This record gives sequence, structure tokens and C-alpha cells, in this order.
Amino acid sequence: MLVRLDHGSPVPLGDQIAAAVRGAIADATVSPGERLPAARALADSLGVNVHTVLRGYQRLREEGLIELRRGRGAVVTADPAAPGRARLTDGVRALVADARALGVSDEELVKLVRGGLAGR
Amino acid sequence: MTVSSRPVSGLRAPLVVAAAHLLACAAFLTAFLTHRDDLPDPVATHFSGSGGADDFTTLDAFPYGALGILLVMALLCTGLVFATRGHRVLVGLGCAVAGLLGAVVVAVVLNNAGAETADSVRLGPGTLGAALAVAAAATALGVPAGGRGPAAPQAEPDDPFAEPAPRFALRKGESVVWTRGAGSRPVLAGGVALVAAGALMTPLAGWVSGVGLAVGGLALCACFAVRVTVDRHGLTVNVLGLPRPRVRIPLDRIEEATCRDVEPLRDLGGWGYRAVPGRSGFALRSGPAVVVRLTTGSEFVVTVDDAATAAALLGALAERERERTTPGGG
Repeated sequence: MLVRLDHGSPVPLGDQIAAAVRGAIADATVSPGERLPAARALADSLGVNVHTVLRGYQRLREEGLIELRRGRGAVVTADPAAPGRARLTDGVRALVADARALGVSDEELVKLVRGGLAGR
Repeated sequence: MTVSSRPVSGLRAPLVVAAAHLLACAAFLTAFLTHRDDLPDPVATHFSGSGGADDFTTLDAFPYGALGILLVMALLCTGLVFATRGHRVLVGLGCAVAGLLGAVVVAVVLNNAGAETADSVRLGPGTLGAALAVAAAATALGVPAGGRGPAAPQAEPDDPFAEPAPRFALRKGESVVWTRGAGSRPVLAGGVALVAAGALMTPLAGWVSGVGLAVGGLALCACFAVRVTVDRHGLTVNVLGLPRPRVRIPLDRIEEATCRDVEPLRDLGGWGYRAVPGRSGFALRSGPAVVVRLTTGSEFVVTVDDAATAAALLGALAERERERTTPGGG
């Protein structure tokens, strides 16, 4: 699992961490059920605050990709579909980024997605 | 010339060790056949610490048992020396085992032959001393005869730093970490089973055996469940997912980092956390490994998946560290 943090980027550091871990889950570098490095250790490696890493982990938990348990740390969801879900979330993020770059409003984008869902 | 001599030197050390063991067998057979009629039945074959006999074997079974032990040890020692391509320590150990075993079995035959009944046979510290002397002599003769062995890791011209690690372009001020779990599931399961067996044994057979098993299991797990991390501190290997114990190679001690295929038995003399002259590290499986050449000239090895990325990043981080500590230099 490779995490690269660009301190000059407008993307918050926690989101950058989440994106890196999500990528690792998506390409199966980290397998379902595997334990992620402890937030404290990762924060020390990257030279950032523990809370920054925890924010990234929290985001992944909201996406259903990892579980955070007291005492056990962060564990990738033991669901064989986790890599697929991670890819899907990645795809959504790419879609949103594309839409923003094109100046498509959020409502328009949702409408587009609804149309796609209704299509088939 | 060098091409034709290489396979010969590869077989020389195992042949020397095998010859030492065959000599031990021959010495035993000679002693047994010449004294066969003087031997009591049963033969005293096991001796207590004070030198008196405390276990016996029938005369018919005795030569097979003794030869069996000799041949099993011969196969084991020769195999180990062959697998490590003639590691000098193992050549010495193999010859020492041959000398020790040979001297002991011959002494058992001679002492039995000289005794009236098996009960009066003694094997005292004098015999042990003599056997150790024979073992030392065998080692002194065997190690030079076994050739130079692989000794230094540099003595592998056909296995150079084959894959010059792909460059890892670090952006300015970027913080990067690469981390990955490495381990062997079967060994880990074995370690956990040992710990469980230790917990079970404690009420059944006393805490000494229980704790012994549990400690062994933990040590096994510790050597085979590691997390490898490459970051601004250097290369770190953590054990059991805990902050400590750990092995850390700081960036300023790293000369060069590469990725290379490693064969645990051949390159590090076995599995787990190993150290051989000029090289140390974690060998958990054969295959790609991060190989770090230290500023001291020795190597640190850790087998891990995606070692190429780790080595490239480690090289780039070490270079950045060098540029930072020598301002203006390059």
C-alpha cells in the first residue's frame, strides 16, 4: 500500500489518505479482512497528525470499506466484494470530479445518474 | 576455466561432509565386526550423566539402530550443506557431528566389548572429551577441504543487482509511505497452535512445558507475521503488528536499495529472522525481496510482495536524505 501526500494540493490530507487506501483495497494490495497499519504508525510515517489519518479512516468506514474497532484498529471489511466496492466508490469520485471540471451542476449530475439508473 | 570449475566447487563441500559421515560409519562397522563376539546381549546403549548404563538394546538390533542414526545425520548434514551451497559454518558443523557420532558409537562398542555384563558398561566424561577432540579434528580437516564456500555475498557474479530498481520520482516536499504485511499463513497457524497447546498444557502438565510451548509459538509468530514499512525514517520491519520489537534501517545507513529474488535456505541459511556473514534479514518465503546494501557493506534482506515499489521508494528517499545532509553537493 502506497500513500503519497501532496501538502500543496487543495484536497484535504485525510481525503488523500482515504483515496490511497481505497486504491489499495481496489487493486487487492490489501485483502479483505486484513488489518491496516495503526493510525498512529501511519501518522508518524507521514509526519502528519493522528487525527488526519483517523479522518481518512473514518471516511472509508462511512463508505463501508473498513471497520474501525476499539483495540483492533482498522480492518478491511471481510466482504469479498470490498475491492469491487472500492472501485465503484473510486468511479463515483472520478465522475464527480469530471462533472465539476465540466461545470456540470450537482443537480444536473444527479439527474444524469438517475437517467442512467432508469435506463437499464 | 571458471565456468567449468564452478559446479565442482559446488559439490565439493557436500562431498566432504558426506565422506566424513561415511568414515564414521566405516569406523563403527569395523569396530562392531571385529568385536562382535565379545559384545554382551543386550548391549548398553544409553548412559546417565554419571556414566553408568541406563538403557539397553538387543545385540541384533544394535548395529541397525546405530547405522540408522549415523545415516540419518549424514543425509541431514549433507543436505543442509548442499542447500546452502557449502556454507562454511555448516560444513564445520557437519564434520563435527560426524566426528562426534563416530567417536561415540565406536566408544560404545569398545566399552561394551570390554565389560563382563551390560550393566557394568560405563561411558564417562573421558569418552565425551575424546569424542569432542575427534569432532574438533574432523572440523579442522573438513572446513579447509570443503573449499571457500559462498562466504561473502559479493561472490555471486552471476546474480548481480539484476533489476536496477525503477526510479521513483519524489515530488518536492511530498511525504510518502509504503507499507505491506508479509508472512506465511501455514507457519502462523502453526505458531498459534503452539500457543494454544501451551495454554492447554499448563493445567495438564505443569507450567514449565506450557510456557515453553507458548514462548516457542510466539517466537514463531513473531518471525513470520511482520509489517514492512518504507518511510521518511527508512526501512522498518515490525513484528506481530506491534510498535515493538522492530528492526529499523535508517535512511542514512542505506547505500543502495534493490529488488531481487531470494531463496531463504541458499541466501540466508533458513527461514525467519536470519543472519549470515555479510547479510541479515527476514526470509519468509522464496521470491522477490527488498535488498538493501548498507554503508557498512553488508546487506539487509526482507522478502515481501511488491518489493520493486518498496525498493524504488527506499532508494529515492535515501537519495533525498543524502542531498539534504550534504547541501550543495549535487
